[in-house]
Amino acid sequence: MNAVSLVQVKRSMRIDFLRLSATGKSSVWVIVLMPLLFVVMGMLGGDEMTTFGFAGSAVGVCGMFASMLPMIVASNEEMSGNSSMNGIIPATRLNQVLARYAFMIVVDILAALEAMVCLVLLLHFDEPPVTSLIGIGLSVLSAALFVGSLLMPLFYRFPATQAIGWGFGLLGLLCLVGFGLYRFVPQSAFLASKTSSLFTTHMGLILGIVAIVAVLICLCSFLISNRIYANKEL
Amino acid sequence: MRVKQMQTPTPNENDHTVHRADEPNRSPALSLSDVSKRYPSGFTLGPVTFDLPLGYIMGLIGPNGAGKSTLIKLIVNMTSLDAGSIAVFGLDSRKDEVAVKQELGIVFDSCFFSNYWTVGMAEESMTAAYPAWNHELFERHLERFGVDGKKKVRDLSRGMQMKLMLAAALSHDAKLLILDEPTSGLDVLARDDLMDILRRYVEDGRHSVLFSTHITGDLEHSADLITYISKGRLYFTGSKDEFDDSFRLVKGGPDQLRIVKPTAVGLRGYSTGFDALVATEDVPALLRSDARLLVEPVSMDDIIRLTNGRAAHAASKGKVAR
Repeated sequence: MNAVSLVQVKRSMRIDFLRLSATGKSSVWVIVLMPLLFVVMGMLGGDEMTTFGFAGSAVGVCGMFASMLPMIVASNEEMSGNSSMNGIIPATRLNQVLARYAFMIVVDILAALEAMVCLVLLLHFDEPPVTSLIGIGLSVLSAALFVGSLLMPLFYRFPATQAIGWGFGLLGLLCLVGFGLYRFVPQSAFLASKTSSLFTTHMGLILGIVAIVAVLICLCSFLISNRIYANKEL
Repeated sequence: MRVKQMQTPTPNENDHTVHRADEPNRSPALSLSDVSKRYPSGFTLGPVTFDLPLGYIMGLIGPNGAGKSTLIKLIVNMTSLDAGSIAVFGLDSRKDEVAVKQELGIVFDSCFFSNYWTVGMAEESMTAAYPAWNHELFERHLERFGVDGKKKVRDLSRGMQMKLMLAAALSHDAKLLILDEPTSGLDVLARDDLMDILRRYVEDGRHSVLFSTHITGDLEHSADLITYISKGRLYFTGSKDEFDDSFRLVKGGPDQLRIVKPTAVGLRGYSTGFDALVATEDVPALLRSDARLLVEPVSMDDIIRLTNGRAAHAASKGKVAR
């Protein structure tokens, strides 16, 4: 990627940020601050279980928002009649797609960092917390990348409302398949328990593999989105 | 009806050509060569070929559904080309897309800014997109057009949204303005104002305007060139004067229809007679056949009406169109 492409990606990312804040910059702050609200509630909560609950909620909310933000951009763009602007801005379609994915990755990294901050504020770690924190940060990043990568091509392919439907449908299907395998295929339950025990002993390795898989899925997703967008009539 | 390709445009009285005479030979602002596009629905546009030289305003006319917006989308690379090539200031609109788009100011028939944005955010998006963005100029245009800079885009009327897009298109040093039905939603005063702006915009001979409309009155005093498309076909491209002189309206009674029908380019029949669009060069022969035929000058609206009405369609089925 050369400097000219970088300029175009930057242009498109700035416009994407405007699309995100289209419903009011305050809504962006709500998204950023909500996990911290769980932290405050966890601090005021009292017993350990409640604090753990709020810590989990804060991490979950970070992950969820990270997955959703790029989709909000895409649906805002379409529903507000802003799609045709993509046809006039001096940025190639490839660089526009690159910008959308870069935007997603930046949001996902920020969400992972925020999840780690929330945990540091809420939990007392017996050991030096770096390994566990990085582990949780990587988990949030990988999960958000995975969900985002799954949904992004749908927003390029379908109108926003249909894409949301397809996205939820796909995620629901994945959950059902996972549950079905775990419940009805004894070998998969055995594999899950093995992975779980491996996770405690080789957390770094497993998270590394998960992160690499998430990045590969993201790359495939980018290629598919680019192909769809290159042929799309704006 | 054949395509009339543009010769060197004839200057008109609002002329800006004085500036052009001693200019070196430069690439046209816009050059389309055998451009065509076919949709799965069956609609086919083209082949379309024309040049828009620097310093001219070209009106792209045709009825609704003629393919004007499709042609503009092809120029802006918002849809893929099936065949042909498009050059803007000598640059290929596909290969040099980014450089080309820096030079374009675009107004669509519906607002491309997000409805949720304020006018200020719309400007932020343009600032992000165009390095040559001129804030002061934009403010001046907003003031001139009476657009409230504090409002949200969705709270602006359709006419005001048009003006906002126009202000944006004029504020980043674009060399070629492409306007898709910009006058729809504008009142008479605003339309006159727009025409004044466009005339002044091309005065220096370094800017050009492509302006699609189905309100042909807009073009009477502003367009130097006309490109007329209908049902995806290019019917005419050339100077406005040549366009006006190319056809005549021939009127007659029912008994004279058979004389006119073979040469008519467009035809509309009534119980009391007919209106026929005839190429000017065919008129003497018709008058030799029947001197009672009434021959009148034709307006752009007559041309569009007679080449698109149901009667015209029927006539073309009857192999009247040439």
